[in-house]
Amino acid sequence: MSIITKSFIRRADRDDLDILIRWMEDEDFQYFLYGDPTRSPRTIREQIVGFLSKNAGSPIPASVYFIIDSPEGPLGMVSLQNISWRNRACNLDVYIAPQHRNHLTTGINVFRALEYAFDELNLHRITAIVYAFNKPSWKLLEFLGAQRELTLKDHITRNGVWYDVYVYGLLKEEFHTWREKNSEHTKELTLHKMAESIRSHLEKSL
Amino acid sequence: MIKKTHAIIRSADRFDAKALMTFYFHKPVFASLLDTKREPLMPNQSELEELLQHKDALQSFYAVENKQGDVRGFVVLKGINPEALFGEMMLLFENEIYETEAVLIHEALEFVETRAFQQLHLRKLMTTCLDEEEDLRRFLISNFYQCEGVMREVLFTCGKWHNLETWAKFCIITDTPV
Repeated sequence: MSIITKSFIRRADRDDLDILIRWMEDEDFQYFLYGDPTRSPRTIREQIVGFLSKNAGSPIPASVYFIIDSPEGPLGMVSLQNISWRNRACNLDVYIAPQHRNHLTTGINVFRALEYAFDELNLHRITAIVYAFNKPSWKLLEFLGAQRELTLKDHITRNGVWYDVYVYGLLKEEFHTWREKNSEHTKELTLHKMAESIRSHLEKSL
Repeated sequence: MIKKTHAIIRSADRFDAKALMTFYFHKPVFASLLDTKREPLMPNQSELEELLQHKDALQSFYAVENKQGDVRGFVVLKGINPEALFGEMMLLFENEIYETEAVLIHEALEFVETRAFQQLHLRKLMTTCLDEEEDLRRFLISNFYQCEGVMREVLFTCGKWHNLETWAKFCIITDTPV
């Protein structure tokens, strides 16, 4: 059985600023990703502008920010950050807007971001840092073949409770093994297929 | 300046730049000297002098001398997270010091743990160790540090991939979260 989706990933640009600010002000964004509740809206805005300007189409970018988009509008974002060209490694972050949280859409687009990281940027390793209470995220990483490498005991606090932080690692060959094993389900979802579909839409609109 | 039984521990200053630079030439590199992307740095002497005269360094970067006044290594307490109450420790000592003057490292560790747990009220002290830093690993184990896991193939140097271990020790008396 193959799966079909209308969602796709594209590079974030300055037109995405408003929606990115809205997402970053979402309590969940701070709770699950960047948990510093003291940041002012201006700091958040400056941070977003900063990363959008870093997101230029450089052949060796320091980070890559993708918007998970759909015909109905943006659903979330997935980013490859702290890219080390020496170690061919980066960190993966994912955010999906509350009304669009759907395991399938998230999984498909994280899969595409991983394809971009391993097949296009030729990275060797992806690291993802996930809080222990964010079970859907670490379950997804495990589903995609990532291994839990670190368990940082009592490493963060949320609402007065200590939580562990998990660090996951996924190596290029592990991802390729996973993709080969699941090729029947993923063949219509690849980055390559997605790009073909976008190109075909563009051609029709000319 | 702290005078221990065998070691003298003092804030490092720009005159320690040369001694510090020798650690950057160590192969394979020290895990403690990797940057946030886990890439080895290659600072020159003037950059290290600048680093060591910065006020943050004066409060976190300590030179460890023996009684003869020779700098034998460095100990650093950095990356303090005031919300989650943890900090990162760097122990920079050549392998031979673990064999010949281990007491200096013990006293340096005692100093940094006192500073972290009693003066700064941290709950957790962390450090990293590359797969080839066997002396450091043994030292951490013997001082009740627990391994929190291994990041695989995270650093490429000397023509091969290296794994990076994370070690941690909790303060025995734990505080209520902030």
